[in-house]
Amino acid sequence: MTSHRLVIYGGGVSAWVTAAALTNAYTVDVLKVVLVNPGVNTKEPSIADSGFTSLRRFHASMRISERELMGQTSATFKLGALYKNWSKPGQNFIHGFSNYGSMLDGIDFHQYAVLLHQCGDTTAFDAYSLAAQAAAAKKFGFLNKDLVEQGFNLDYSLHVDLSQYSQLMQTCAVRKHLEVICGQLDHLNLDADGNIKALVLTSGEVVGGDFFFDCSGSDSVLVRQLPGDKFLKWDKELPVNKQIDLVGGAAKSGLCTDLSVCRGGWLKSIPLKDKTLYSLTYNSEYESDDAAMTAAINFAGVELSDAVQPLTIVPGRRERFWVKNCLAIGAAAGNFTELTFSYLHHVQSGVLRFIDLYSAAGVNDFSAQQYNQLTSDEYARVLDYQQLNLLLGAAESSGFWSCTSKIPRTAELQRKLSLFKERGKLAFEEYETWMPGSWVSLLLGNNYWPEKHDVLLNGCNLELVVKRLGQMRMVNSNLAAQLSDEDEILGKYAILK
Amino acid sequence: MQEEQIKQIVIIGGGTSGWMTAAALAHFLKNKSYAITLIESEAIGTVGVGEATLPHLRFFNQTLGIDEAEFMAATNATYKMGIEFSNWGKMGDAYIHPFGEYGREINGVAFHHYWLRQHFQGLGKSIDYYSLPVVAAAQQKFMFPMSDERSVFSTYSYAFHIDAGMYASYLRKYSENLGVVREEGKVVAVNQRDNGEISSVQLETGAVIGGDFFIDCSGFRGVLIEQTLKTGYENWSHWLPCNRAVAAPSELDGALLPYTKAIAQVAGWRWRIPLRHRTGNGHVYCSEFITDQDACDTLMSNIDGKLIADPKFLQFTTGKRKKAWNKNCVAIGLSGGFLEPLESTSIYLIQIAIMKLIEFFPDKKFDLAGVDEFNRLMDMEYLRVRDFLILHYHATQRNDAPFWDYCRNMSIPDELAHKMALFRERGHVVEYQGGLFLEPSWVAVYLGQGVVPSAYDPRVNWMTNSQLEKTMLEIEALIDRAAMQMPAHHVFLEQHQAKTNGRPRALMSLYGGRQ
Repeated sequence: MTSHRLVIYGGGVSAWVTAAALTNAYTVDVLKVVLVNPGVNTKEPSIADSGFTSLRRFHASMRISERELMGQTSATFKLGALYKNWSKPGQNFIHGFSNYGSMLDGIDFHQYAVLLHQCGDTTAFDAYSLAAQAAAAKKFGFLNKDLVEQGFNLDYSLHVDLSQYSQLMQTCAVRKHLEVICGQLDHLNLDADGNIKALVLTSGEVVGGDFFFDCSGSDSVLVRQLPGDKFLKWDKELPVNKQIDLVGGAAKSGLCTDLSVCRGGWLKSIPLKDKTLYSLTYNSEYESDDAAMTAAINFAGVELSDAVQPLTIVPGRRERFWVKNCLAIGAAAGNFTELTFSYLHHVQSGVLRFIDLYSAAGVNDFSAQQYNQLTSDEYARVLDYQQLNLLLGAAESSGFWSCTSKIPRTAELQRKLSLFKERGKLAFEEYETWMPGSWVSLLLGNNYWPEKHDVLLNGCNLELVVKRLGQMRMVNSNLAAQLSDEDEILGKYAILK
Repeated sequence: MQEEQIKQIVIIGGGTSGWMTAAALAHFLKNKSYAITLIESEAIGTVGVGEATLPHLRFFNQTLGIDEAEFMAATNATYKMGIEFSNWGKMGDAYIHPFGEYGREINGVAFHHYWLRQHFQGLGKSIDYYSLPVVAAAQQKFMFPMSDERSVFSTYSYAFHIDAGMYASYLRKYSENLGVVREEGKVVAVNQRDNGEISSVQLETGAVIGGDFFIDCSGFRGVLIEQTLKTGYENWSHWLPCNRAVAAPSELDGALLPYTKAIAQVAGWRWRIPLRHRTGNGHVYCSEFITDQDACDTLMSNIDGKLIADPKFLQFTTGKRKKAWNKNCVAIGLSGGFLEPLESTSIYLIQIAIMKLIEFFPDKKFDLAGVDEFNRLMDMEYLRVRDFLILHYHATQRNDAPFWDYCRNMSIPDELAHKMALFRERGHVVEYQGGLFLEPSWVAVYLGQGVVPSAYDPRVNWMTNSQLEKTMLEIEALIDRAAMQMPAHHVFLEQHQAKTNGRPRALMSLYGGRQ
């Protein structure tokens, strides 16, 4: 038996996910995992999550049955995000996880779409996406091997209820070997080097450990007490400061997370099986709380309730995430806005990276350095992506949207934009959360068209290209029509307790 | 838009880089109104001295529709599964850096962590025994890998030893068939437009060849990129101090090895590359630590067969052109940068430059963002290969010669220092997507040259000692049996020389299908 102990502080989603991942990675005789649950509301997303495809890989690595998980978390299948009225008034675009068109003669598909666009073609880019066609028709299905071998895919993720998801993670972790202690932190016991020796609880109980996880949400109770801790605000990079969350009835379809612009900021809805989370993120400089509340209530179609108040949000990140023997996870590490964002991905990516780097046997100085570097890079690229969404949101130009063109961008985002504008090429970056294809379809679907097409398409047979692309669209809509009705397949697939 | 299209492409220099570029452009631009001219002079020798390649070359050939059997026959090729490094970590050491994996990932954790746990217990064998390409290569065996990922035969890939001069001739025919025009002659003058772009080159004969786009494959001299455009060169010889080579081919003698040899010497290293008709030999050295005569003597005294030609001397400065693409000129091959052939990367770097050139193929406006991206990506490739090469020199305990004292004590690039520190701390290999050498390669060199971690991934402790021992024995036995089944390299070469069938699909990867 080892005496090596990992201690998690927190009682929200990030804490339970961390506990489940750690107990899954390490058997009890290797590393003992203890969770101290303060039993208070953690400042972190807690209602619903709109997952990325990585979510399913996480479940697979934990050997969690997706069917049972879906039954237990009021989950729906997610094929992508629906940008309603985003880049152009009246235009809807579905940004699916799966591919758009297929490569022709060794040249990326989207170059052909660019070519046709330059010739005056106005076909919506998502006509080439099976996911988009399926979502529009409220259809879903698992493609058979033949179709997959032909290059079709229908990648999906899930929308899940976060409180139920936390419960499930808790069950998984406890079943493995998690020990749970209830109690609130009074103070930290630090050693001379600034490492945490123990959490001293208000009850007087002392919880010692070798490594500590701050999963206390944006209060970041542990890391903020460590020497040199610093929070870097993104008040210029993501200029929003308020959020209103409302829960309404089930949506007509669960296949897409919806996004749309509004005067003060943007609206997002995450459809679960039995309810929908509606959120409005805004900047109070451009919209009063009252006006925002009215807009949110109209959007959600619910009654006004005093219980719901705008939340203050502070987008930003810690300068370092892994300091000494303490790691900030989830909202304790960084706060992104609810815009094409998955809190579960944010948490899981953090804890999996930790597992990839942690050594129980010795020092972790270089691991910590590496963790901080990779996470900074990852966050920077996520920030780029969120900023790109804001830049593309041209359907509204008043209020909040009058400031979006002035948002300072990273050199990497600027490079992506200029290179794409020039000839539809996507700049390469390490440690991206979104694959190149996702960036390309986001750009084209939101009418960010390059000035020129790939030189290799010069002199190609235009008539043949038109024909081939027409066939692709036809195949997609035929295939989509053959899929199952969304409700029917969800009913069969998700296993209810 | 049509008037912006490039019409005249001029390639300066034949050799491997020139003809690979010509062939690829001719292939990708066929049926599009481009004229491609390649200027080379029979009077100027090429550097090609018999080359060891990487598996990526198979992808290049496949893309161009070149039949592999035909290619092998045309270049007197043999198969290659890796490189054997001798005397690098210390005198008497040897390890093979394979085109493939070690063991297999278990429960999401890389094999070398399991190996390390046993190693710390004083158990287990050298990590060589857990890699099929290493075991098979050491036994001089070869057969095509399989694509079925469940099979141990999918854990490696292969490349070739080729006669680079013959490859250039082969590609010349290929290119000329697709309409590339070859001009014989030496460039004596280069004419520029007001904006600095190159407008034409003048040959000794007086002929003037104009173009919209120039590709400089003129080798070390960089006739266009440097002599004309003064692009500048980043010198890396403080990290990679070798600056000369002497090479000489010899008659076949002894076994036809399915791997390249790189044997460390007192002030550099020797290569041995087995082709079907001869053996390529060479000695890369640093002139500050050894004289040309001594370097040549070292080479001569280590050549097995009879010498075919007189030894040829080369001089170089390791480094990279500041911009591979400057104005309307792209430098491909030695004109773009030089990294010694320790890891057989020369042809790979040519290939990558060509692939990226095609991806960012310009029009007459030479879009700025595309050119910048090309240069950024090429820089990344060169830098990452460079750091991997530096590792070979720096990770050494040799103290028998001033050259090795220098290498052992020199300061290395920060990124490499960080990578090595992470591996030493807990066996972590830094992952990246934009680069050639991935985890198995780093593990091979680290462990092969005595960079041993002080801890491993604690996840592997889920196994009991006896489970671990059993698993390790099983993997070792599996690989041993697999190697036993494989035919001898020379037998396989004879039997499969003309066969096109059975060759697996090529990938842009150094390793097998599983990676």
